[in-house]
Amino acid sequence: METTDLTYPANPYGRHEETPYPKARWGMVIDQDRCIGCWSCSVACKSNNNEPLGLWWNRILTVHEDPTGMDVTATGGIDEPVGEYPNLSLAYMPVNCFHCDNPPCTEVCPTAATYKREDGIVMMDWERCIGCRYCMIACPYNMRVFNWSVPEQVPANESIDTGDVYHVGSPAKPPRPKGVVEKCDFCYQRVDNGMQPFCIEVCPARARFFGDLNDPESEVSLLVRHAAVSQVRPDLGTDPKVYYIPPKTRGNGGSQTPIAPLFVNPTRRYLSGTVVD
Amino acid sequence: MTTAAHEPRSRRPMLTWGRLSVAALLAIVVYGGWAYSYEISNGIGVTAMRDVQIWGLYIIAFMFFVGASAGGMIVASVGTIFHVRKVEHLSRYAILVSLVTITIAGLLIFPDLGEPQRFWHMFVFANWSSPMIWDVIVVLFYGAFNLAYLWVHMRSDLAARHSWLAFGFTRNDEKALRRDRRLIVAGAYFALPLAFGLHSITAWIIGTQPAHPYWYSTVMAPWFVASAIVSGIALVLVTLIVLERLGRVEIGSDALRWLSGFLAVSIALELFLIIADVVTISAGRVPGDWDALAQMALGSYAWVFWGEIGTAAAGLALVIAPWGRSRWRVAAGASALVLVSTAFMRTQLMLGGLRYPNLGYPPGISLGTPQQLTTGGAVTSGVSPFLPTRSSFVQLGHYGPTWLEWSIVIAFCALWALLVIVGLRFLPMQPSAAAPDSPLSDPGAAPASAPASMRGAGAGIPAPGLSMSRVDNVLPATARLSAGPGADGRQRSPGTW
Repeated sequence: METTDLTYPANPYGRHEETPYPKARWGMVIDQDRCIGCWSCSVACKSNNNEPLGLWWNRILTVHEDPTGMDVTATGGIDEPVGEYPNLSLAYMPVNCFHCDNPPCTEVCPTAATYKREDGIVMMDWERCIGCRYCMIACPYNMRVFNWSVPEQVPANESIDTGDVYHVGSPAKPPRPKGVVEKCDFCYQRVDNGMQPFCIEVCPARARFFGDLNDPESEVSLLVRHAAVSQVRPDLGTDPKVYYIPPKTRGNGGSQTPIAPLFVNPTRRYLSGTVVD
Repeated sequence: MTTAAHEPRSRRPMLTWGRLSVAALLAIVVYGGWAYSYEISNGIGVTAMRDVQIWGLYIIAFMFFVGASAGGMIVASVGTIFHVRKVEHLSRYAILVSLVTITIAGLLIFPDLGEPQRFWHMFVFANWSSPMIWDVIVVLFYGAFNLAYLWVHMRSDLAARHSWLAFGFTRNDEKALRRDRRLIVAGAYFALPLAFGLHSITAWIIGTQPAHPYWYSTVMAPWFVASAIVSGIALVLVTLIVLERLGRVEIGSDALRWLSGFLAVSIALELFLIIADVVTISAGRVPGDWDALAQMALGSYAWVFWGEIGTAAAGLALVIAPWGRSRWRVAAGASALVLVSTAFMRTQLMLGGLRYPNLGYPPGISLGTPQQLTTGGAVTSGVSPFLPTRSSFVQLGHYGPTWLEWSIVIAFCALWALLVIVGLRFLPMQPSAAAPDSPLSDPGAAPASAPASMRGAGAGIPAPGLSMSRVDNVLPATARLSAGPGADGRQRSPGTW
């Protein structure tokens, strides 16, 4: 893991406000048509970031028909299509922290333990967090997770000889103390070293794109400009920097009632075939 | 305990009800301390709170205690500002109750913190855009103000009994008493906006979060102020009635009627605000609000919602009934009912606001612990957390406090009672005639009928309950006594200050 090429923060628990790319604005675009719901990104995220049992920074939601994206009463199971046979439809929505431009979590954190870096990544300071969970209340997307007890790792992390729990994943993500909030940080230690977040790298369907939204020629900028991207709950004014290319009804005949575009953002128009594929 | 006070020390029996109850309260507090140490060593995963139900009983209790601390300011400052002299002899009791209540509220934050030993970060790294910082500041400030205000009320009596608590301000001449009186009046004008700030900011902790539609409402701050007035008066009334039954204080029928009337108005206001909120949500049926309200009014926690409204309405009916307001049983019953109602109100807000995760698609959001909780709150053990039925994801918040949460909150209630008892035991609660907060007398508080234990304050100073409407014409107290109010006790003091 530790190669001489990569630099990691001296104290992975503390603050990391410096970024080698201060002019960048990191963002992500997720193509819901490409996502196959395999959870590879979630598992890779869990492993790379050493997330304890029961804590997920990255999840794959099975989305149902809902134009607002906030149907809180949605029921049904994972991988369960909607509609009636043979007119079924199914779509996935991978979610991780949206790294809002105007994050409500950093606004309410009483100690500024969560903060937005210059490059737009919303970070956590595990040495400063007092565990009040107000940021979890404020996050409109439930992207923050809490270490309720002493973090448990999967049994595979235990040494057979000594019983010690050893550290998997990046050196920047050591075991957390109990009682602090954690969240996706776009794998800042990889990004700072010129790499992409781990979820981008492992996605077998290449449904995720990552890059600098301030660079007009970057892949994500092109997608945001030309694909019919939308944000989740743009009405809240948070300006999430994770964009979705909503599922279009295609393949398999499609359903009679097409899945309405999720999270409709009227300011963006779909330009067919410009970039997608 | 009360009867024993008359007897010489040696003749007092060892076991009295008073000592027994103090011992029982101490035992509960010690047990609560043990429970809290268990929570510290095991993490707050020992509570039933999880990533959907992010806040639970501790914050419910915090909001309850913050609200219930309003009573002192109502009795002391509203009484002063609106020249209601008939409750003035109760100010010290009310402020003591407020002080203890806000202290407990502040302490209740600690068991809710994941890293309580880092609480000082809030002062060192304060983030001023956070409503929580403002709430911490206003709670501390309100507590400090209550302490100072209580001291100003008592200073002359503390000085008279040569207590070190007078902190060197031992002069009791006319000038000093006039200064005290001025401070009391100035404090009253200061306390009212402070109390509004306290309850509004506490409401805004949840009321400024658009992520939770059920909370994100303009009604939240006025509602919290109204419920604070309701529960504050109710708590003071219950405490005073208990003390009166024990022979420690004379409330007086005028004061009881005034407090009950104030209680009635504020319950009506709170019910009105609830109805306004429910009507607005029901009319719009905006999904987030409506789903939460439907869950609370019709779902499995409906008993909390309807319990809140039912107990408040019953309390209101009791207190406005024509035979009601001057009877202590009625006042006590109504107060108990609205205290329960306020507890229900805090609970239904916390449950309703956190019932649904914001992206409610399957599989939902991760719990934060590997194991699913049962609704009762007990951690299931021996079952693989990886079975589908034991998924660590949930789509709907369930919450029922664990025994540990109950233990800690009940211990805080015991600590509340203990601190109130300590204050009653060691502080001059009954204003002496010369004290700047001494009220107009009422027939119930004639010197002869006042229990001896009440007289503890200023030995040598005439008995409590004697009037002093303004410092200028107080001294000598006996002169004022002879010119006292009519026998019906209804004479109002001329508008002073």
